[in-house]
This record gives sequence, C-alpha cells and structure tokens, in this order.
Amino acid sequence: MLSSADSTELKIIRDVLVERFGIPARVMEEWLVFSTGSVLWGLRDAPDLDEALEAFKIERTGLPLLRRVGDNWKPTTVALQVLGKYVSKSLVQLSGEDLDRLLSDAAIRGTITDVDQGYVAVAGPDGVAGCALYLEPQAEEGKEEGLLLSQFPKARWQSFGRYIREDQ
Amino acid sequence: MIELPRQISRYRELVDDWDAFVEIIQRPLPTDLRWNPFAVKRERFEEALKLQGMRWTRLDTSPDLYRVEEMPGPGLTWAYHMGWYHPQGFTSTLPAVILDPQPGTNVLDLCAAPGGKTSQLSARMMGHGVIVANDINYNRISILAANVERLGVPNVLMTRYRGENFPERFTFDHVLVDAPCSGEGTYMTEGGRYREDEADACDFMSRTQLGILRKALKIVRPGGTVLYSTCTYAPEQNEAVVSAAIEDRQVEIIQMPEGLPGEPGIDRWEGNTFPVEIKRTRRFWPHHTNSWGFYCALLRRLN
Repeated sequence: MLSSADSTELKIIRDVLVERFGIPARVMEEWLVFSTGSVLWGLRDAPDLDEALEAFKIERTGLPLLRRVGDNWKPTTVALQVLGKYVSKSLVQLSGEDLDRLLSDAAIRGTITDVDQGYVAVAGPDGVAGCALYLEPQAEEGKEEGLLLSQFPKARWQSFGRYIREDQ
Repeated sequence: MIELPRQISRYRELVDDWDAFVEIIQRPLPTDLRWNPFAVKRERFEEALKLQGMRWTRLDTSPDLYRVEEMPGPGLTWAYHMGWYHPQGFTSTLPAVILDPQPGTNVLDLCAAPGGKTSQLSARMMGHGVIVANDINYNRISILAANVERLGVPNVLMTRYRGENFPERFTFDHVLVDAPCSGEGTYMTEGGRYREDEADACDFMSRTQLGILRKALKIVRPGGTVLYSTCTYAPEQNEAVVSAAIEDRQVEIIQMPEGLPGEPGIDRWEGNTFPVEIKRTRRFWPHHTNSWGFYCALLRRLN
C-alpha cells in the first residue's frame, strides 16, 4: 500500500542519501517521498502533483530510492544513477575494467581508505553506475584486504555485454 | 510475388506503391534507438555507439532517434541496462514528437505500457510536470514500471483504469491515446509482431478505441490537445474513429507539423466517407519510413 512517507521515513532518506552519500538537502527537497513499507519511492515534485495524487488511485509511483534490507536501508541502483552527479561521499571510483570485474565476479578485493564500511556508490568512467557493499579489512580475523560486494540487481545485469570503453 | 494475408492485402488500394510496400515488409527493419537524456549526455551516447563499431543515421523528424544498421540484441548491452537508450521504432516515436508537451505541463498517457512513449514524453518535458501513465493490465504496468525505473524517469504516476472509464477529476494539458488495435502495421513476413488472430476483432477494437478517445477529449482542458495513434492500417480503427469523435464539433483536427513522412488520412473507404479535414491526419507507411506502419491524428478540444 502506497502512502506518503512519515517523519521517520523522511529521516531515513536524510540519513542515507544526504548524510552518508553527501547529496545536498536542497536536491532531495525537489522529491516527494512515498512508502510501501520496505521501499521508499521518490517522485519529482510539480505544481499540480498534490491534486493529481488526490484524484487517482495510484498503482505505482516514481522511482525506488531506498530498499529495506534487514535493519538497513540500501540505495537502489536507479537512485544512485539518477542522483549520481550529486553524490560526494561514500563514493568508490573504479576503472572500466574493475567495474567489469565487480559485475562479473560479484565482488572485488581491495582496501579503500576514504570510505566507511557499508553501502557505497560505485562509479565507472561514466559516473555513478550503482551500489556496492564495502567491508573493511579485519586483520584480527585474518582478512587483510577489504571487500567490495556488488549490489547491482542480478537479473538486470547477468546477460549484458561488457562495459563500453575504448580498449574493446 | 508473395501471398499476403487478406488482413494486409485488403489495403492494396490505399497504398501508393504496392511493390515498394511488399518489398519493405519482407526485409528486417533497422534497429532504432531513442537516446535517453535522463541517463547520459548525447555526446557520450554517440561515442559509445562508435566504440561498438556502429554507424547510425539521424532522422530530422525525430531528433533523439538513432537508426543503426545492425544491432543484434539491443536489450543485451551495458548501455541498455544503464538506461542510455530505449529501442523504439521511428514511427512509434512520432506521437510524442507531434504532441510536443513542454516542461511543467500535465500529461496523461492513457494506454501507456510498455512505457517507451511515456519516457519519451517525460524527456521532452525535461522531467518537469506530471505524467499519469495508465494501463488496464497489471502485468503490463509491471513492464511499464520496469522501463520507467531503467530509464530513470522522475515524474510518472501509474494508474490502472479502463481507458473508457478513466476518472474525470483532473484535467490535462495533453493526452496521448496510443490505442489498442489490430496491429497490421507490425506485420512483416519475418519477425513482425502482428498476430492474425487479433485482426478479426476490428469491430470490437473500433468501439473500444472510440470510447477511449471520447474519454480523452473529456479530460483534456479546453484548448488542450489529444494525440490519437494506432499501428494498424484499418480505416475502421483510424479515420472512422476520429471522424466519429469530432462529430459534435467540439473538437478540431490540427494540421501536422511540416516535414513528416507518410500520407494524409483517407476520406473514403468501402462506401463510407469521412469529413474532408480527416486529411490533416497522417498515415505512415513502412515503405515511406522503413519502420512500422502507423497512424496519428492530433485533435484540439475547443471549449
């Protein structure tokens, strides 16, 4: 059941997209947020939008921004793509080759020093492409390297060609 | 000469060059890709096509369309999944081009799935304004939602009403009626989407189409425009439907923009005559466009 996001859910949007990913608050003010419980959806505001929302029974709306995973909220691939140019924190820049490896192998090893453990935006040569989960090294448990786990939706990525770049 | 189904050969007298028509529907159509400005800059999209070794041509009448000669599996590329383009035949891009909604307007796409035209409308509005994308079929709405998501379209509300029963609680600046139809325009001797068993429902189709179009003309604001389109050659579902919709004289047919390919609508068919202004509507034949057969009529509500 679709409903307007309540204050708790709006705080989640701020905590994740504004605080963790550095997207300016003024950018998020352009979006109305809706909830279906486990997904928070965004719709770009417009002068007559409230009237339209009142007039119709809405089946679906806008773009999925965050999805609940256990007790955490994960940004969706499309949210990071659409808002990608505003992402300034928790951002991992990869070469086209590394992005290919992340998608084909589902994970790549390596330690990233300037991001905290948790969900990160992954950027390739053309900007932010989607989401990954970064796990920091845990030397005491023998894990000397960090790990970047792909959070790209498998069904959407399993059959495409390789990333378009000049060395192909 | 190949033998065509009677649902196609019945239009022989309407076609200016039957040999050219028959020849074109025996050839595979080129792949048409509509660049999606929400996802990538045009320059990078063109560069990506070049890096894949693809050459393209541009068509003046649909400026975001790239016609590539050969592209197996346009839905199986990185660029597709990133939403850089949407595979969309040239003629099916024309309704949004002709309707031409501006940023900040309110638009209803009454038969919206699978969403190619919805996303194109939004792109022309630069994502600003309200688009209500309606479709009766729940499964088709899922496909619509998937395309809206993949293409990053930011301003779409999705509803599921029968087109004829769409609520009259909100008025729109523009309505697109890309009506369900018998689909002969997608007939190709190989690889087309046309299904013969659907074509015999012509009478049923025209009643549904008229119901949907009349509803559209009620919920567009006075002075607003409605674009009616089909992918059939059947005059019963094209000129006859539009003629019936303008009978009460509260609606006018607007002249199409200059430079479009195709031919004027017809004013007579199998003993029936249509008002002379029906010639302002447009038939797009495959041998004129190298794309699916299509029909468009642009209407304005007068009061």
